[in-house]
Amino acid sequence: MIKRFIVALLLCIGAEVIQAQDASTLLNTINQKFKQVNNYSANVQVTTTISFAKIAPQTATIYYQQPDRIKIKSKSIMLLPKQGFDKILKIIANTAAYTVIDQGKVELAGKPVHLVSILPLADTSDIVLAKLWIDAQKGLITQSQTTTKSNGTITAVYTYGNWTRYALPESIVFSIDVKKYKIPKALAADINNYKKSNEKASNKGTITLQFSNYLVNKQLPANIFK
Amino acid sequence: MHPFFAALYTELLKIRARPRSIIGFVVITAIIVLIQLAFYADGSAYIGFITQQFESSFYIQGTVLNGNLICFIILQTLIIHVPLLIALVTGDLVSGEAAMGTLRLLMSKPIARSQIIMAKFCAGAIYTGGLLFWLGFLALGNSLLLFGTGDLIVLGSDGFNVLQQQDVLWRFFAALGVAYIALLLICALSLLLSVFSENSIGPIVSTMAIIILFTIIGTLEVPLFDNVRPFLFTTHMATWRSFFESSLPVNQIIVSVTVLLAHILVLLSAALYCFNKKDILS
Repeated sequence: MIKRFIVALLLCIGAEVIQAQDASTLLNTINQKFKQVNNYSANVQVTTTISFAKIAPQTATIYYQQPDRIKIKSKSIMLLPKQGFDKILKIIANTAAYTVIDQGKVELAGKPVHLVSILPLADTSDIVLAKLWIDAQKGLITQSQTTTKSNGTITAVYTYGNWTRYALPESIVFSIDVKKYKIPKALAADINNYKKSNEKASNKGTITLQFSNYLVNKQLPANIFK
Repeated sequence: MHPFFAALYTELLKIRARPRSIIGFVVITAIIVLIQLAFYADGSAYIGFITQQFESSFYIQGTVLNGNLICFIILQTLIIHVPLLIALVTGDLVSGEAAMGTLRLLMSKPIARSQIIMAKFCAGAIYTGGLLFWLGFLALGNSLLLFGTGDLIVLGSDGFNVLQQQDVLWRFFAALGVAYIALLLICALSLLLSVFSENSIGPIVSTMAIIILFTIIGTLEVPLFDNVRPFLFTTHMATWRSFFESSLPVNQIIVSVTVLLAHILVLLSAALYCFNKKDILS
C-alpha cells in the first residue's frame, strides 16, 4: 500500500517537473527568438481609448537596442503604458529571477494555448504575478496579464505578422486599470465647465500599438539613445 | 469727411488721450510676461502636478509644455478679466462727457445723436479690438517664441484632450474672434449704463458688478442656478473655449454667438433709444 502511494507521489512530482520543463522550454524558445534581435527600429501608431483623455491616433518611431535601451521619437503628445511594451520579454529573459508554473493547455479565443505563470523571486519586484498565454506551436506570446503592486492589472494582447521569427509583434493592445481623473477647476482654469462628470466612465483604458516597417539588426542612427 | 467718421475719429483721439486707456495694455503686458516667466522658470512643476494623477499607469511622450499650452493658459486666465479693462474705458464714453460738461457742447454739433452714440460704440469696438489683438499677439507670438510649438493639451477639471499642432492655430484665431464678440457685448453694456450716469465711476463699477455677479452665479455648482445659467451672457462669453474641444460643438457655438449678438443688438438699441431721449438741459 505504502509502495503504491510512493509510486503515485513520484509520478505526480515527475509530471509537475516535466510540465515545468515544458513551460521553461517554451519561454526559452521565445527568449532565443528575441535574442536574435540586436537592435530594431519600427514605426508605431498609438491609438488611445481612455475615458478622461481624448487623443487622436499618433505616430512615432521606436528604436530598440539589446538589452534594454529604448527610444521613442515623436513630435506628438501621446500616452503610453508605464509598463512598456518590451517589459514581458525583459522579464522572461532573466530566467534566474522567477519561478515558472505551468498551468497546462487552455483555450484562448478558440485557439489552444499554453498558460504559464511567472512568479518573481525578488520581494522588491513591482510585479506580483505574470500570466502568459503562449502559442506553443509558433513559440509566441499571444496574451499576457501582469499584476503589479502599483498599477493594478495590465493585460496585453499580441498579434504577429511577418516578424514571428524574432518574436516581434505587429500589434499590442494594452488594457489598463484607470483611476478617475480630477483636478481642481481653478488649477485647470476651467471654471466655466458645467458638464456633469461621467460617473459611469469605464475604469479600463486601452492603448493599441500598431507596428510597421520593422528594420531589424540594421544600423541605428548615431546618438539616438542620448 | 462724413460727420459720422469725423465723430469716430474724434472719439478715438479722446480714448487715446485718456491715461486709463493705457492701463489695459499695461496690465495685459505685465500679466502675460509674468505668466510666461513663471512657466519658463518652473513650468514643469505645474505640468507634473497635473499629470501625476495618471503617471502611475501611463507616461506622457512628447513636449507638453509648449507655446500653444502657455497661450491657452494665458487666455483662460485673462479672458475673465479683460471685460473689466474694457469697461474701464467704454463705461466712460458718455458719462465722462457728462461729468466734464462737454456733453452739451457735443450735442450742439450738426450730427445726429444716434451717430454720436454709434461713433462712441465703434470707437469702443476699435479699442477692444486693439486690446484683444495685443493680448493675442503677446500670448501666442511670445509664447511660441519662448517655448516653441507643439501639440496642445487642453486641460479640463475632469479630463483632457490633445489637439495636434497643425490643428491649433485656426482654433486660437476663431476663439479670439468669438471672444471679440463677447467683449463687444461688454462694450455695449457699459455704453448703455454710461448713458444713464453723470459720472464715470458709476457705469464702470456697475458693469464690473454685473460681470462678477453673473460669473459667480454661473460658476457655483448649485442646482438652483442650473436653469438660470443658460440665460446669463457670461455663460456664452466662455464659448471661445469650445473651439478647443476635440469634436467641435458647432451648434453650441452658433447658439452662443447668436445670443451674444442679440445681447449687443438689444443693449445698443437701448443705448440709442435712451441717449436720443436723454435730457441734457436739466
